Amino acid sequence: MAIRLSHEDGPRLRVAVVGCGGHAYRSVFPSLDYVAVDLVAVCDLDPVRAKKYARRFGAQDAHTRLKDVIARGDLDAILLSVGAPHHPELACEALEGGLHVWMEKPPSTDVGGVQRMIEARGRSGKRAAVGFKKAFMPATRKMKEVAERGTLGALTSLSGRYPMSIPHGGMNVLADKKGNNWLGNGVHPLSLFVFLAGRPDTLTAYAAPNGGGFVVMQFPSGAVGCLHNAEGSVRGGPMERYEAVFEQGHVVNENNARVLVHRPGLPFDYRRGYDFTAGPDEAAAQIFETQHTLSTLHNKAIFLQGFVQELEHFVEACLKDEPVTIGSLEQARAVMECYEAGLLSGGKPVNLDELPALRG
Amino acid sequence: MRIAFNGRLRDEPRIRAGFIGCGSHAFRNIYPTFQFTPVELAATCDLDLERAQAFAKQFGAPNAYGDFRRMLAQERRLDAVFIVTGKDARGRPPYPALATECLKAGVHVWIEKPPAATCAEVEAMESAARRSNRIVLAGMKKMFFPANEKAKELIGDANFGKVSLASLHYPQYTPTAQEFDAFLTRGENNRVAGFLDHLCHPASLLVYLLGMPQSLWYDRAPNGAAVAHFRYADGRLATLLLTHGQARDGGMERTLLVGDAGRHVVVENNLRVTLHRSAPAPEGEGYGRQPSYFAGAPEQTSASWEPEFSLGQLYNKGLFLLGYWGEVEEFARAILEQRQPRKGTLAQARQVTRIFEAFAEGPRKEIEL
Repeated sequence: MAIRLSHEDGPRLRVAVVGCGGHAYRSVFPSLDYVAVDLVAVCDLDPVRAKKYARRFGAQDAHTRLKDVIARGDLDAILLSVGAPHHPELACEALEGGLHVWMEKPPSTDVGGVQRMIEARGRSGKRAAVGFKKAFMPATRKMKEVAERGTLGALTSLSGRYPMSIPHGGMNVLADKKGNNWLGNGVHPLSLFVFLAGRPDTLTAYAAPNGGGFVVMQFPSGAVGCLHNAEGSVRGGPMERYEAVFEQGHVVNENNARVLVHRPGLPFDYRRGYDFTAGPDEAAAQIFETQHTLSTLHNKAIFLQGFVQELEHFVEACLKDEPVTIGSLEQARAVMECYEAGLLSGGKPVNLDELPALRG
Repeated sequence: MRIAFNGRLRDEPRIRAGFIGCGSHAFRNIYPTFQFTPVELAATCDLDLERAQAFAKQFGAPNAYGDFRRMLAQERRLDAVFIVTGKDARGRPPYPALATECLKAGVHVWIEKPPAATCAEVEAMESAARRSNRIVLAGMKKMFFPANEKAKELIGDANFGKVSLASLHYPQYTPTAQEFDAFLTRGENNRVAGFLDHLCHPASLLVYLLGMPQSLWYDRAPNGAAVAHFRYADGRLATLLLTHGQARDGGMERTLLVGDAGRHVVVENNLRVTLHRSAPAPEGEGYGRQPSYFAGAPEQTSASWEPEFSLGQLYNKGLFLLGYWGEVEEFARAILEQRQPRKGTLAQARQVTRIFEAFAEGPRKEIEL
């Protein structure tokens, strides 16, 4: 990945950020220090806020309407962070106006919203991407790298945990396009599962009395996945843990900050083995963990959590006229299919290909 | 109006600041803190004017300069100046001279570490600060790490007892006596420059946690690793392991603080803070007779703090975890509240610099601090 600091030379994508809220302030704008963009404009419904953000982050102009951003004619792309209910409409407008579009997650409130964006993208010939940061986290990329290298064999099962709950009355939730945490944040672990194992064939959601539960997925490769919706668990301390089990080893991601690759080759004598450190060094688990001593980039949360990388991938795809391969609208559609299936399952397996019929 | 933590606008006072230095450390770690602190960046300044202009645009300053004296003269109503520059040709920090000139111009000053190469230079800054009635904060970030602040809080609790022993680790090459001599007396820019630059970190942490020690004794391995032993006036002991040669991966630093009442605190990788307590053994289950380790009520057992890296929060950002936000926030608040900074003071800078000077006196002897 090519880090380009904001004051370094080279081709840049001319962009506007649309949406000046708390999340953009904490995580999107700071990431632009490390991505090859030229921040030309910002846009927010609140003109005072738009002007303040423009000044603070070095943009030439502040706007309050997307149509004015598009009408400028001097931009390549927009970075959209305005909430799932508005992403499809604004993204389609921008794509049809000739701009590439990056949008924060979730991309929409349903699969239909993503489908409309896929169609608009097709008509416009522009690039579109969704900021599924979990797919870009260094910890996830290491899991993917191990899977693709194949040295531990094929993936057989994948598990994860996230403090989460699927709301009851899924059909109403979909119909009303209501915001809920399964949409807002459930797409995080779902996007990680889709990135690592692909679009599942079936999904079954089991609900616990307090709202948490388990989501079980079956993938085309034959692998199975299980997401523990750990509603009720503490927030603030480490919240996530993912484990990918292969035929001959497994990889654990703890807190998105520590990755252990457990490799085959350790001696295992059930009856007489007494030394847990026995065996060749190359069979010992590999540990990847960033240090928090030196002020490097890799211990910054905007890198640890994949914010910079998700923007960088989109920007490079636009600059080099290459396809978006991670965070594509097709992957977004798969993630939203999982979201809908979770709402509609009620403890029964949902075949993702049969979702349209289920929705009615 | 400023943009607050939550992205909304808030009307509250800020300090107006100029910034001398547009290098990569400032770019990654200091300028970005202004998003979250009451600082209005009025101007940037760098010998490379084009870079100053790029930084001004990126970080929202209206003006850029290639000469700091011009910035001081032309910028109206500057409250403070941040100075983050590289070392001079002799490998020494230029902060004493720059800070003194800025203090004379009537602005408060924030400087990066190391504050100076000699205690005399720190004392000169202290005099200049007193004469100008302005404050100086030296960015000794370890004092502002949330993990270290928590450790300080835990050892200050009455139940902890008194700290009897501390152990710090830091990966740093320790120069030879010849290298110290060449640096200090002949102005040779050698590895002592790096030692001066980085010793600030564990030295300032030691001063922050336990105060200034009374004496130092250290020994040095052939590769430059070292063991330093500090003794306090009240008998407390501290060891600093300068673990030059170790890997640069997770866990480069580890702090252990042992109390005299059955508790100790460990800070691992500046990320995980654990208060270790021993739950009393159940009646009749003394040493060698306790079948289950998991005894004791929750408030009797060890407690641990560690941030999550799932959510786009502030507390898991490097700017916060590594103390950069804290050291800028404290500076700005001290100015706004018209008081001295509580940490990062020049008095502490002098103590840290004294520890550096003591190392230069050579290994294997008791050195009074």
